Amino acid sequence: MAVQYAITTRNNRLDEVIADAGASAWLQFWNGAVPATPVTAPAGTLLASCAMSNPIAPAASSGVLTCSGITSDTDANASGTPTFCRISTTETGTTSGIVQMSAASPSGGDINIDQAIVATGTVAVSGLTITDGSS
Amino acid sequence: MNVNDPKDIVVGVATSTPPPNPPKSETTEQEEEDA
Repeated sequence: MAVQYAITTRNNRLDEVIADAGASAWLQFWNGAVPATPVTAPAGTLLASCAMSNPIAPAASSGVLTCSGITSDTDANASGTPTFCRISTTETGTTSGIVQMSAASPSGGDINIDQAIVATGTVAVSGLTITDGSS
Repeated sequence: MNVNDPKDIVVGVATSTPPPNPPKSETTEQEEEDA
């Protein structure tokens, strides 16, 4: 059977993400191969970074972390289709990730973006939730 | 990874808006007038 955790434990796991993100966190959009871990330097290119709220979310509830408002990046770094995203404690850092997730366009990723990112364009995030799967 | 370890589920929605077309330069406009 799969490992199961109580709701309180699931919430605590997600709340640790909020704590680790701290006061300044960004949602980074990268292209290229997905690195082995959130702190492994990517081989691809950073396309955009959207500033997250402080804290990034209210306390998790029912095993779900729902991120608060995320500020659009109105001056994207580079053009490309993102293949993964990271919640990172730095705007452009390559080894400061906390959470790493897949990205795709227009669908098929953990984070889906309607079309490719264009350098100097705008990237907006309308919602981001993380559900602890250990129910 | 433990095969019994269930995966967390991330749902994110993003949109990309290309930059507006750059304004024509004065040189270009003058060239159009000359033409």
